[in-house]
Amino acid sequence: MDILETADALGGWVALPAPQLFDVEYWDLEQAKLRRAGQPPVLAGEVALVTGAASGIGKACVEALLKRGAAVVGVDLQPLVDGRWSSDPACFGAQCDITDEAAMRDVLARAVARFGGLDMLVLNAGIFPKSARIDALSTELWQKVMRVNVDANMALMRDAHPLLARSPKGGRVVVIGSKNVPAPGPGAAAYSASKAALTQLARIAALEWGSDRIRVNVIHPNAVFDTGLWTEDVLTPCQSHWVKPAAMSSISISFRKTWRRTKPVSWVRRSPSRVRSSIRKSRR
Amino acid sequence: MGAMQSLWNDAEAAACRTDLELRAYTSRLLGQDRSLVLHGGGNTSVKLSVTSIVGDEEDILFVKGSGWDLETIQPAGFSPCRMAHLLKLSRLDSMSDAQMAAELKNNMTNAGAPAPSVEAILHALLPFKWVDHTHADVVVALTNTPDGEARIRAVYGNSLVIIPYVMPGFELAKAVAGAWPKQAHAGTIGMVLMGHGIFSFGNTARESYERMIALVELAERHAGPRATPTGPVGVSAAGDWPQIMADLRKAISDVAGAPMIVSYHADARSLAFARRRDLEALSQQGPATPDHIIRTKRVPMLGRDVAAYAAAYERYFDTRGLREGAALAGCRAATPDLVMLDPAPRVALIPNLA
Ligand SMILES: NC(=O)c1ccc[n+]([C@@H]2O[C@H](COP(=O)([O-])OP(=O)(O)OC[C@H]3O[C@@H](n4cnc5c(N)ncnc54)[C@H](O)[C@@H]3O)[C@@H](O)[C@H]2O)c1
Ligand SMILES: [Zn+2]
Repeated sequence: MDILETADALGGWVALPAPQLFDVEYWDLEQAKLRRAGQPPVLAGEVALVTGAASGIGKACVEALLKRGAAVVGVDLQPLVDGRWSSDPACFGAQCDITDEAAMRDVLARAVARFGGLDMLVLNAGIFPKSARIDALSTELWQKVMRVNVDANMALMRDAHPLLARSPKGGRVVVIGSKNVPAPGPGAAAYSASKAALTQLARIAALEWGSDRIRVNVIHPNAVFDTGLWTEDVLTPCQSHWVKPAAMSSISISFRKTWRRTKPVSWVRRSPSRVRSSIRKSRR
Repeated sequence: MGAMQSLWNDAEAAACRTDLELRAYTSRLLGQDRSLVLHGGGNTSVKLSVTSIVGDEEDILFVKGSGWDLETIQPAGFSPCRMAHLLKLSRLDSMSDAQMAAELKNNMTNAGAPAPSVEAILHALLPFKWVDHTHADVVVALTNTPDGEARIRAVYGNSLVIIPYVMPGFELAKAVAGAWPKQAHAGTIGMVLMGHGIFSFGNTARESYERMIALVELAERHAGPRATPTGPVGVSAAGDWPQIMADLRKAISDVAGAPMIVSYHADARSLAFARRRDLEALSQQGPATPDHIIRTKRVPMLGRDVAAYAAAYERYFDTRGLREGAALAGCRAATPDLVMLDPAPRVALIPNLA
């Protein structure tokens, strides 16, 4: 713009004629510059939004997506402090409460301004409150868990739908459920019920959005201990088997391969190899 | 475009232990200024006498290697080419691009060094130890006006050699070899390549670098200050713009054959440009320097009709740059096996959006 306008102010901009420009564009030595860039990574040119991106599974998803070439929009209640959020042009971070619908719509708009659209949604942010039996469960706690784990995700799915439906390769949603859905435990009523509702929401989305070429999957993690969800006292008794967040995220990415409407539920527990085989089963 | 300033720093320069380190240092000074070089553009060199392991002394041109950017270049980013061989190559009548690339690579003293810049032979021909070359915005703005050459002469007098546009590579080196004896004299301190960029020369690293700054500053003064709107305008009036953008991105990606990132610039500067009344005439000619073309395509898309843009690009490809008749049949790119790049735009100007 500067060059064209400066020349224009001096009496007119005159570029080289098209034939000369063509010769440079198709000059083997210029093309070699493009070839040197090599084969683009699998998710090059695609945009993913990850909620709960500051910690645990969400953070590992961000890393896995970036490694595969995607541009990533990270959302978290906590500040996104890693250097990448300020320095990597492929990263756009927003400190935001997912239950604030207006703020989340603004995040979507800013993501579009920055990257042009949205292809993948990783609904990962979630809370796991202190254990409370039903006879001692406050309405407040119940509603809070529902707001974060269910309501916010419904609103975000709804508001992201027009963008996902315009994804060049077809939209993808990965919902992070929990092993509590098929195997709940005492004291986790609000959490288990919220994740069950979220799972059902995802199933309906898979039914409704298949015709929009949007694929929806649910991952049910269990015992991914090195995240913020697990406090010291919950951790110690059950440390014998665990899955690292990085392993989890490589699993969710593997859903990318071909577009299809998979059965959304697969119960994932413990070892990464079993995780993979259960995913294979569910894709059949 | 702002006032040019030398970034030379005595302490930083003194920390350079060799001429090659100094070469890398002043190259980085050039690279820091985006109005001088963009996207790996520009190149620099230094001619040094080097003693080989068997005791032979040889003149070596250390020229920027491909794949290195001036902004971050290190001594390892310079390719050591044998001067004697480069000068012999410059006397050939013709040479294909592939031959030239092979000759340049095969005549380095370090097989592990990067491939030399395609402008290596040109650097070798210039009879100065230090040579700096940039695609300075303001110089290109001056050369790309209807009376560009007269303007350049008015600004620089006869202190520079002036070369009409020739495609970079061997043909350009030949053109300079031909023009140099006619134009150069004891007071020559640089060279302008019309439609391409500017060179400065020096006997020291500092002299060559600061001449570049001074030469570009002269052009800045000629162009004069230009008010540009600043500040954010924010999101455009169209309330459904995220969907419009997502539709646009899908259309572009479909034509490109792969998903693309599209970023939206609705700042005052960009919008004022996209809303110029003469936008079509101004923007539909070509990029500022030809080496931008592999990143920008020849012209930006006006509006949102991606299919029409792609069709126009295909026609441009089929006619090898809108050539006709004999010019088409006889051009160097007439080979039928040339493969078209994706026809998707890389820049779009949408007056009511961004
Ligand atoms: N870790 C496990 O073993 C395990 C098991 C089953 C399910 N999960 C699920 O995995 C998901 C990620 O959990 P994690 O283990 O990585 O925990 P984590 O606490 O390390 O990460 C969750 C992130 O979500 C963010 N967050 C919470 N509420 C938010 C809100 N309202 N708005 C924006 N961000 C919010 C938190 O700040 C945190 O950074 C959760 O949905 C959790 O229920 C985890
Ligand atoms: Zn150049």
